[in-house]
Amino acid sequence: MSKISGPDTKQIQYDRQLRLWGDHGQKALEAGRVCLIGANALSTEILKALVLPGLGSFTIIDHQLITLEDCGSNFFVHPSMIDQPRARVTCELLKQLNPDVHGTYVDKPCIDDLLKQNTFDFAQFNVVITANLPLNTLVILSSHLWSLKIPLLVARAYGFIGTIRLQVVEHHIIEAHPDDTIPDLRLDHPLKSFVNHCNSVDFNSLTREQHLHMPSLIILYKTLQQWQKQTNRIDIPRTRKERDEFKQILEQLSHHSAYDASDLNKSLENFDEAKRVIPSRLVNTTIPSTINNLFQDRSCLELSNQSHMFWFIINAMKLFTQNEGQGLLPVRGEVPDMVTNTNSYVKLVEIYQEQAKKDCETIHNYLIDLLKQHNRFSTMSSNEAATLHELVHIYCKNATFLNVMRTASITNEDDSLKKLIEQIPLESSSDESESEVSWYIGLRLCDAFYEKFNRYPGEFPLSTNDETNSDQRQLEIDFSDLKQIGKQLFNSDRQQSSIRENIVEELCRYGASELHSISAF
Amino acid sequence: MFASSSTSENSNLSINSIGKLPEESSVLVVGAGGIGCELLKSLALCRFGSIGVIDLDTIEVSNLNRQFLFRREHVGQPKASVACDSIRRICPSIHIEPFHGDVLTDPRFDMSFYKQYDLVINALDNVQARQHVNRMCLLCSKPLIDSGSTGYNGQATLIFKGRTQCYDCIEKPKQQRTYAVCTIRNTPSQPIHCIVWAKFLYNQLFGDNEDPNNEDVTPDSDDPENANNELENKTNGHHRVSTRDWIHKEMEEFDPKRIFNKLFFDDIIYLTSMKNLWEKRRQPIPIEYGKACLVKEKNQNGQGDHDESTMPKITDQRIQSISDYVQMFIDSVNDLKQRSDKQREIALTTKEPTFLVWDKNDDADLRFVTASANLRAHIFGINLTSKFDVKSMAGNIIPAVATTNAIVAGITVLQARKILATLPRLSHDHTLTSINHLTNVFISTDRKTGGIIQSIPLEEPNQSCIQCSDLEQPVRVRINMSLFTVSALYERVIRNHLKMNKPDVIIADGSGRILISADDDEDEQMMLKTLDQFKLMNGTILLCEEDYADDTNAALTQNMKIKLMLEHTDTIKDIDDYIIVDGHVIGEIKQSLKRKLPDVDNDDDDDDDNIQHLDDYQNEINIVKKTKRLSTTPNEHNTNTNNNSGAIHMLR
Repeated sequence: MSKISGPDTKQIQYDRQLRLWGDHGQKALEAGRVCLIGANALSTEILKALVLPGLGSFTIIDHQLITLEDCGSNFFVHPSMIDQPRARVTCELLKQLNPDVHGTYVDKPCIDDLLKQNTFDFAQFNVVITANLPLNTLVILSSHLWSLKIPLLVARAYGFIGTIRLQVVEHHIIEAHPDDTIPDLRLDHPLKSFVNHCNSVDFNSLTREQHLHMPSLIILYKTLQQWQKQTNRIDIPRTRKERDEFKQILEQLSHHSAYDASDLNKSLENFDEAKRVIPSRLVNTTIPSTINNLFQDRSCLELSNQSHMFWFIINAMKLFTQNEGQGLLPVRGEVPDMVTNTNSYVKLVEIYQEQAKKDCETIHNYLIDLLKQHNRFSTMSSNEAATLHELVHIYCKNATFLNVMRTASITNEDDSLKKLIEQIPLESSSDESESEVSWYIGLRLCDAFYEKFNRYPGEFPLSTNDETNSDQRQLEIDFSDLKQIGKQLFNSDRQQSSIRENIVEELCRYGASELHSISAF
Repeated sequence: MFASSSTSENSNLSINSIGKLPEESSVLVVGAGGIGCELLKSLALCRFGSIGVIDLDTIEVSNLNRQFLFRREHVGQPKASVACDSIRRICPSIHIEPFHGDVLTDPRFDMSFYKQYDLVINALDNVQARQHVNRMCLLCSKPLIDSGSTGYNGQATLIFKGRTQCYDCIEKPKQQRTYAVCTIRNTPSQPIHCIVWAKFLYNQLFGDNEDPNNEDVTPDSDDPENANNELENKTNGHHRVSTRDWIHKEMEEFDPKRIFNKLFFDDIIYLTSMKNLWEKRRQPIPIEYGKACLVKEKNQNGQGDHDESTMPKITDQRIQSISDYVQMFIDSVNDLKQRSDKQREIALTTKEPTFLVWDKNDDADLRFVTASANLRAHIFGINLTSKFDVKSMAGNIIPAVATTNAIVAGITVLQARKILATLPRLSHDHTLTSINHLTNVFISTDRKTGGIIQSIPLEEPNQSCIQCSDLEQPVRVRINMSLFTVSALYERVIRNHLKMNKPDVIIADGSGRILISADDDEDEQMMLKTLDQFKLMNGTILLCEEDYADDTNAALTQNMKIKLMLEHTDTIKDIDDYIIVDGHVIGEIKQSLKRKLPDVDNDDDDDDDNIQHLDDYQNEINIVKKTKRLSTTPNEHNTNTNNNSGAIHMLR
C-alpha cells in the first residue's frame, strides 16, 4: 500500500484533516509562512502541530545553545546535542517530521538586537508566534508588528498554567465551518419560484405515490399557507398554541383517500420528517446582528482605494440586502437531505441554487461597480479579476457567518488590565476557585519580577539534597519580593486585595519551569 | 533556566507529592496511533519509569499527518515497535516495550499481563477494543484512563472499579448503523445503501466465505413487501443463483465483464420482476456492460453539473462519469482477482487467511467499492458519491489532527500523575486513597463561551452495569476458542457445569447478539462452529439467562443470571477441554441456585474426564483442580463452599 507518487500521496497523507477543514483550509495552511521566536519546548510543540499537517514554511529565531534543561522538557533535543544552537537543531528536527515543509532559522543576532537593528523583514510572514518571550522584548515586537498589521500570537507555558494571547489588527472570518447550521430555506419569505412550484402541487389530486414522496419542505409550506389563510396572518406560528394549530393541519394533509384502513398504521416517513424538522424550518429569516455590525463598521462605510477586498464585498452585500435582497442576505442555495424521490429533491435543489446563483451575480455586479468607483478595478490583474467571481460565491455561501476579529494591542494592555482589576469584587467569594483574571495578574507580577531581577521568581539553581533548607529560604524571599512588586504595581489598597496570596505562592513554586505535558498543548 | 539538571524540573514540582512517583511506576498504553504517539512522548518526558505499548497496526501514509513518531520510510512497519524505537532515541534510559498484537485476541494479554502495570491508558479508535480493555481493568482492579478524539473534540475519562462509571455503564450508541437487508439487496434509496451493498459484494467475491455475517447481495425474493408476488416469481425465467455460488463457478474462467452483467443487468432484471416493490418506487434500470461504457453523463439527473466554479480541485472529490466507473470496476476487479489468487498461494505456506479483508486505505479496495456503489446508484436513480466521500462513508473515517491529540494526551498524562499520586507508594495494593480531586475532562470548542477544556465530575457507577457491578462475578472459562464449539460450550459448560437448563446466551459486548436462544431450536450447523467464528474474543462476557418457572407456586418463578467470561489459550489442544478458573464464584452461584431450586436433577453423568489439570496456574489465588476429583455427594456442598474457595464444586 506504499505506492508513493506526487500529489496522490499528499492527499492520502492529509486525508484525515482534509475531512476537517476542507481543501480551502489545506491550501491556506500550505500558503502559511510562520515566524517563531524562541526554540523551547513550547515553540517546538506549536510548530510540530503546524508542520505535521503541512504548513508552507517556518522560520525559527533563537540565539541560545541547547542546555541539559532543554533535554528534560523538549522532545526534539537529545543530551548529545548540548551546546549546539537551539534554532538550528530544532529546525532540522522539525523538518524531518514533514519533508514538504520548508524551514529556516536565525541564530544570531538575538531577537532584541534584531529588533534594534530593524533590518529583519517581519512582513514576509503571515503570523509571528512567540513562546515564553520576556515582556520587555514582547512590547517592542508587538508594536512593530501592529504597525505592519501582522498578527502576533503570544504563547506562554508557566508551570502548570499556560496562556495564549492574540494581537491582530483585523482578521476576516470568511469560511467559519460552523458545527450545525439552520438551513437557509426561508419559508417565511419564500422564493417566488418555490411558491410557484408549490402552487403547482394540489394535495387533493395527488396519487398515492406522489403523496408518499412529497418532500417535507413542500408539505410544510403547504401547511403554512393553509395556516396563514385560516388565521389571517402572514408570518409563521410562534406560540405553542399556534404551533399546535399548525400541526393539526399537517395531520390533516397526511391523510390520503387512497389509503385503506390497514395503511393507517404504515408510517409516512415524509410527514414524520416534516413534523420532526418544524423547529429548524419554521424560523424567521433575518440578518444576524454580527452582519449588521459589519454593515455599520467604519471600514465598510468609508471604503477607499486602500480598503481590503473583504470590505468591498461586505459593502456589495449590504447594497444587495438594501435592494434586491429586500432586507435579507443572499440565498445560500443548499437544501438538506429529505425523504423523497430523487427527481423531487433535485427540483428543489435547482430552485434554491438558481436563486443563489442570481443573488451571487447581483452582488458580483455591485462589487465591480464599487471597485470601479474607487479606481481599484483598473489596477487589478486579469487573473485577480477572474477569481472575484469565485470569491463572491464563497462569501455568499457563508454570508451568515462572516465576521471580523480585532484585538487590542499589547502595548495598550495595561489600561485594560487596570479596568479589569477594578471589576474584581473586593471581598471575592473565596470558595470560588481562582479566577482567570487573578492568574493573569499573577503572571504580570512575574513579568515585573523578571524586569527587576532578570529571572523569574522561584527560578534558581537547586542546591544539593542536604541544603534543601536554603532552597526553601530563597523561595520565601522570592515570594515576599513578588508580593512587594504587587503592592508597588497596583499601588492601592483596593487593588492590593485582588492579588491572591495562594496564587503568588504557587507561581513562585513553578519557577518558570516548562513542563512538557503542559507545553504539549 | 538555572535548573541544574534535566530532571530537576519535574522534581521541582513534585516536592510535595505523595504516592507513587512517575519514575517508579509502569504504564500500559493501548494504541500507538494519534493520541498514542503524543502520550508516549509526554510520558517519556515526564519520566515515567516503564511503559508498555500495544498496537496491532502497521504504519500507513495517512497516519503521517499526526503520528509524529513515524516517518515515510517507516510505512508498512508495526506501529508499536517503531514508536518505541523513536522514544528510545530521545530518552535512552527509559524502559519501553512494544507489543505488536491485537489486544482483543492475542493470548499474551491475559490478566497477569495487565497486573504488571500500575495504570492503563486507552488510546484506541474503536468501541470494541475499549470495552475489552475496560473489562480487563475491572477484573484486575487497575485504574484506567480512556482517551479519545474526533476532529477538534476530545476526552479523557477516568475509570476506577466501583468508584466511577466504567466504559460500559452507559450504553454506547451503535458504531455502525445497520440497514434492513431488504433495503440493501432490493430497494436502495440512498448512497449509503449502495456503499453497504458494495462492501458486501467485496466480501462475496474476495472475502471470507465462511463468515456467517457475510451478507448475500443478490435480490431477495423473501422481501415482505413482495409477499403476494410468488406466482410471478415461479413463472419467471430467471432462476436465482446466489453470488457466492455463482462466483465459485465463475472464478475458474474469470471474466469481469460477465460479473458486471450478472450484477448490474441480470440481477436487476430479476428485481424488476418483483412488481410489488416498484409500485411506489422508481423501478431500477438494468445496464449492460457494452452500453454502460458509452454513458458519459454523471447521472440521469445531471447532478454535479450546475456550478463548475465550485468544483473541488482534488480529483478524488469529483464525481466521475458512468463510463469511468465501469472502467474503474473492471480494473479493480482484475487487480483484486490477482491479489486474491496470490493471497491463496501465500496462505498455503503461512498462517495468513485465504481471503482478502476490505481496507479503506487500500486503493484497489476503495476503487472497487466506489465503482460498484456508484453503478448501482446510477441504476436506482440515486445520487452518485465521490471516491473521497465513499471512503469516509464506507470506512467510518474519523477526522483527526495532531493538535487535538496533543491536548488530549497532555491532559491524560496530568491525570495519570494525579492517579499515581493517589496510589500508595511501594505497595502493590491498588486501592486508591481518594479520588475526590480527580475529574473527567472534555475538549470541545464551545462557541458561546470560547472555552475549550471542561472538567466534569466523576460519575457514580451504574448499579445495573453488566460489566462492573460487583454483584455478579463472572465465571471464568479458559478454552481454546479456535477449537471449542458452541455445542461444547452449551452442553459441557452451561448445561453440565453451570447446571442451567435452557438459557438464553447473550454476548455482552454491547452488540446484543444472541449466541443461543432459549426459544429457538438449535441450528446444528451453527452449534458445530467454533467460538472464534463468532468473533468472540479473549475476555468476552456471555450472559446466560434463564427463567425458572415454578408450576406449583408462581411467586417462586425466578430469573437466574450467570456471567461467563471466556479466556482464550493456545495451550489447550483438545477440542473438548476447558478449565474453570475462580472456583469460589461457582460456589456462590451454586449456593444461590440451591436456594432457588431445591430440586435440581441428580442424574448427571460424569463426563468431566477431559478437563485438564493446570500446573501453570498454581500461583493464582483461585486454583483450578481437576473437577473429577471434586465430584462430591450432594449433601457436602453446604459445608465447604466458603472455606474451600480454591476448589470447584459441582452441583448435582
